Amino acid sequence: MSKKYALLVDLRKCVGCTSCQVSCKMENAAPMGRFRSRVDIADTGEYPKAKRYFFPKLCNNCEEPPCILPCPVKGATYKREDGVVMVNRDLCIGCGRCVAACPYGARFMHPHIPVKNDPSKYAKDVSEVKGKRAKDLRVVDKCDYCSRRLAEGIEEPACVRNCVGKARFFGDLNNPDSDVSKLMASVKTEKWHPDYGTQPKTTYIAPDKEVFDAADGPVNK
Amino acid sequence: MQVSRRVFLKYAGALAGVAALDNAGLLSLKRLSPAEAEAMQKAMGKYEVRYTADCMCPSECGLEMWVKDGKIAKIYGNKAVPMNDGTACAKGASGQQLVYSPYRLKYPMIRVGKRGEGKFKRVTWDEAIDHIGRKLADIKKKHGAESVILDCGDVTDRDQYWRLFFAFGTPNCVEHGSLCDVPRRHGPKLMVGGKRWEPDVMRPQLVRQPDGSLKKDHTYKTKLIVYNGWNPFVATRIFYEQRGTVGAKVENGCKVVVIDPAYSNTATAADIWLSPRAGTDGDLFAAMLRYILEHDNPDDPDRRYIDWNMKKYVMGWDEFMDAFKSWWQKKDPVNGLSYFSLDWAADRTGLSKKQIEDLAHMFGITKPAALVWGMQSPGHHYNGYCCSIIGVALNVITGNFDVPGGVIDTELVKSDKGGSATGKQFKSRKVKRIINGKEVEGEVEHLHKDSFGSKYPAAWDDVVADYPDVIMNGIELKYGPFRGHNYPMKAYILRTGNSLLTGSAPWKWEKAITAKDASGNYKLELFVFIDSLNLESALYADVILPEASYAERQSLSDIYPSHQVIYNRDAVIKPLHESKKPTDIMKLLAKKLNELGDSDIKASDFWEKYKTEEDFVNEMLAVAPGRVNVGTPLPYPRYPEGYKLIGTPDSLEKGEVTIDDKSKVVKGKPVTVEWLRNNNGVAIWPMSWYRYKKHNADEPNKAFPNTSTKLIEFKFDWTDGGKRYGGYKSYNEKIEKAGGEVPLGLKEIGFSKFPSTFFWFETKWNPYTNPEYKKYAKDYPFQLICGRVHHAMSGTQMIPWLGEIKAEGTWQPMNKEFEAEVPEAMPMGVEPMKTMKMKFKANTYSVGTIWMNTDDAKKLGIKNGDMVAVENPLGKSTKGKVFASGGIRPGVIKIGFATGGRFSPGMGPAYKTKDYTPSHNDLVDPDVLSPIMGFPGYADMIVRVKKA
Repeated sequence: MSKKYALLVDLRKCVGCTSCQVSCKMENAAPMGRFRSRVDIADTGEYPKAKRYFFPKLCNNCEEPPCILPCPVKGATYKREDGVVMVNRDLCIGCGRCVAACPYGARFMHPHIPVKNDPSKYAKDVSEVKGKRAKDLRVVDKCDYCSRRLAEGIEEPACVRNCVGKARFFGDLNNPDSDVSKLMASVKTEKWHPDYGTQPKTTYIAPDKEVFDAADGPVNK
Repeated sequence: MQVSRRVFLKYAGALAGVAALDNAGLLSLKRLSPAEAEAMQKAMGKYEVRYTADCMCPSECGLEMWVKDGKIAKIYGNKAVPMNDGTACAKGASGQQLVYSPYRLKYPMIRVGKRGEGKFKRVTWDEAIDHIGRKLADIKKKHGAESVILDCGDVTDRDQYWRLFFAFGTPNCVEHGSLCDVPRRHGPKLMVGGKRWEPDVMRPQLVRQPDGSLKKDHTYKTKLIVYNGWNPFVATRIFYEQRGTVGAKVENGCKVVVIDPAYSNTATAADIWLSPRAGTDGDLFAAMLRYILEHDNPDDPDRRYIDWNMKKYVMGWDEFMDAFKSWWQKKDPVNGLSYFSLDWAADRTGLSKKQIEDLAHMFGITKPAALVWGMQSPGHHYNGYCCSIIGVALNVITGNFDVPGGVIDTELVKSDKGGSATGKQFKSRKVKRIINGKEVEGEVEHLHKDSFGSKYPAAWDDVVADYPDVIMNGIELKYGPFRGHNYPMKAYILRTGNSLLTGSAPWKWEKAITAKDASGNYKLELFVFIDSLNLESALYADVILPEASYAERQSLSDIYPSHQVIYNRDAVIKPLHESKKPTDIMKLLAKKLNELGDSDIKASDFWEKYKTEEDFVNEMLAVAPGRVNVGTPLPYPRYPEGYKLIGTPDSLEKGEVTIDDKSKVVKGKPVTVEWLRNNNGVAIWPMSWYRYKKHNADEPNKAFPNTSTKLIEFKFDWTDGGKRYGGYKSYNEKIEKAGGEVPLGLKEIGFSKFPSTFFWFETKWNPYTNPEYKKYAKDYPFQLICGRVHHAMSGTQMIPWLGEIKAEGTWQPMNKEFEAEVPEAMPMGVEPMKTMKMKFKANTYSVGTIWMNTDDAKKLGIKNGDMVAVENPLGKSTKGKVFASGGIRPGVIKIGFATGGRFSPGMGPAYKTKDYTPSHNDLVDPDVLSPIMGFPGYADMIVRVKKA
């Protein structure tokens, strides 16, 4: 059986340090103002019942990713057998349709990675790239669970590796002994906006569900 | 609902039918193409992993830096280091943006304009060193070496500079500790010879097992942590307290109480958040102690607060308790109530009687527990000493000191380092001075500005905040052999610090550093600035030397774990630009001084002794771990209890040692840089608890703690059997030898000598606890507090990735639109960073803000983001934008430490926002220096707020 990767965040252990956000930028060279992984922080409540919510977000690598259907180039974005939703930088023409299609805002155009695939081949059907050359367009980027590390057999995304509160877990849902499987079997877990119907895989231990309303911004605005 | 979500709805219909469609066609299930996989593997394979230590904050976590093509490509926590256990925070992970920052100091410079104008010319290292050397030689000849003061604003990697200047002949070499949390550390230093008391939550710990093996233990034991004014989630030096606090909670059901006027990030993990008035930490602790003493009952399981067995391990408890109780008879002039009663504390702290009673009871009854007080409470108040002493007492009498899951004095158990490399031996050199026409001989040490000076002879961490006064008025020695010797401060060597901005009130510093004598020359004749960063203080320097960044120089971690751990700060890449390593700067300057005829500086102590920086670090390591074999389980059962241990963990483990019974030392093979490199960068010796008692008997081991009696001391100066003891003994002896000359600090609080046991005095600028300030309360209705913001210290404010983060109420995305050059990560090519000019839209980048309570703001007609002026009774003010929330006590304002008004262009984005960000330090009263150790009352101030 293939692996099925998933990431779990135990909000009981999140210390709000945002190491995941910055470690991701370090690992994947995400640009200023754009995020593969981001922490939403929300201050709510009146004194003395103040609250501060930390909500670490990343691509849900959905079971039914809504970002793949609108892609006009076959294979430019795809879901691997292990569940990771990928972007093929050699094929992406930077039309941005997948970016718009993700309800979580998990995708963005990377300003420092020009498109390689010749967009003119698709211009007839894809108005977004009509009249544009590859060097004028930018490929889409998103969290892929640090696929470069996975390719090396390092089954630990940078955000998990550096997580200060040891609140992040990564592993194989098909392996009942993985940390994520064990936690999901023993502790009540939640998803962020399961109502979108995409079967999001990122899982949270969130005793205070208010966090989902208090810090409900998308990963990228 | 965001735009992207609206667009998403367009596709939602199609998605509904997804299960019915052919998955292969729709979802493109596919593995990486072989070409893609190969490219990635190649990319991953070329790294060289170097073990090093962070230096972007004082936590100094163990790091792995992955180097490719001579550049730092990745940064992760070092999994072998228990301090951070493989993790790295946002700062740690962002190191590339500091190392490759365009704002670094790149080459030596000499000032051409006036001090403060920021006009410099680029010079060669030879020119810069020659300039400094000649000036130092001249000053030494005219005024004595002691008139040169070296301030290593950063603790880390300062040993080379200390060595040089001790050898030069000045005892006045100080470090960051003098401006950190001095009053907080006072109780531990006085009572156990230590420093910082932290909860036993560093996991894993290496523990000796009953079968003799060593095992990593991950289990938490702590049941209660009380953090008073301590915010490890945001301002940590004790990095493991982040994962340890939440780990103990989730895995061991530990309760957490956070006491802080502001809802800190640490408070997000608290079961109870108590928000007292600022500066009442000691009041709360005193009420807890009184409650515990009054309600303790060994026969009632619900009142068994005190572990009376502690009396075997302490000295002077009865005297301390009597002195403490004597206050109960007195009525506080502020409120007419009996000192330390619940009513008294409720009146002062603004907490309810019930809250205080519940806290005292909970702390008394829950075991193991840790009561921790921090930098932001006693550390920042004039009377923080009292709080710190009571804090020690509370932990000790409840039986929580050094028990599993209790509280640990991390200073007493950290590995020793530095040794003879630091050059303290040079301070015992004999020197002569002419005093009132008479030649007097003493040691270099006896010239120390503080230890023998007129103000704070007990300032064992030195005083930096009075330099403005010292530059203007000089130094008077009142104690020791050189009593009556006066000397000026003529040279200031500032290395990796920014005292002009943070060493109390910047305006006073500026005035002193730019002050001229009658002939128009600067009173301070030489000001040298050494750093990788171009900070505000540099604008006033005569000479600027660019130091290699933390990733480019070699040294050791300076950390506070719960047992002995030490690791390399290895040089990961070569020094960038024209920067040089501390060892090389030391050697260059030493050689120059020697050439200029300074016979105190010898080749054999410097350039002949240390061929490389590794030689220097090896000497620093020669004393490690340097702690005694004590506690349960005994770290090394094969060696005698109480003997000092020196050497690598493996040589001690294997018995490759010599045992010196006379000096009680077990010596294995010395730890070296090479040994560390071969062992994941880190040396770890075993943990133990109950280190104050014999491992096999309920009696003191007389080897720990580090006091005059090797017991925990509740009295501070006493005589027994003709011998004098106690933590204040030596200072009182100085006073007595000087004919009863009372130091200035003590005079301020009406003491004639250092107290012999429990003492109490009030803080400054607090209308709720000190009657002297009651009259200001109406016009200045807010207390002003400050605190370090995790992502916003000097080095980290320059990092754009950290500008994308907000922290508490004092570091928020409230910028106006600005443009700045910043390092930007490059996903392709060999350069990890490229400097780019970027535009930052309004409210997208975090800047220093003024945090106030929502209701307070409403009453003043102030909205979130409004500009306000904050004014103090001294006529000083600062401006900034308001962040209003329910997360701060009404009547309290908080501003981050040095988060605003950053006027050095070297600060990058922060410089662009200086006109609308607040400088807390501008409001500090420079004359409030705490009476025992001369530390600024950073959080002793009241203010009013007006719309600006």
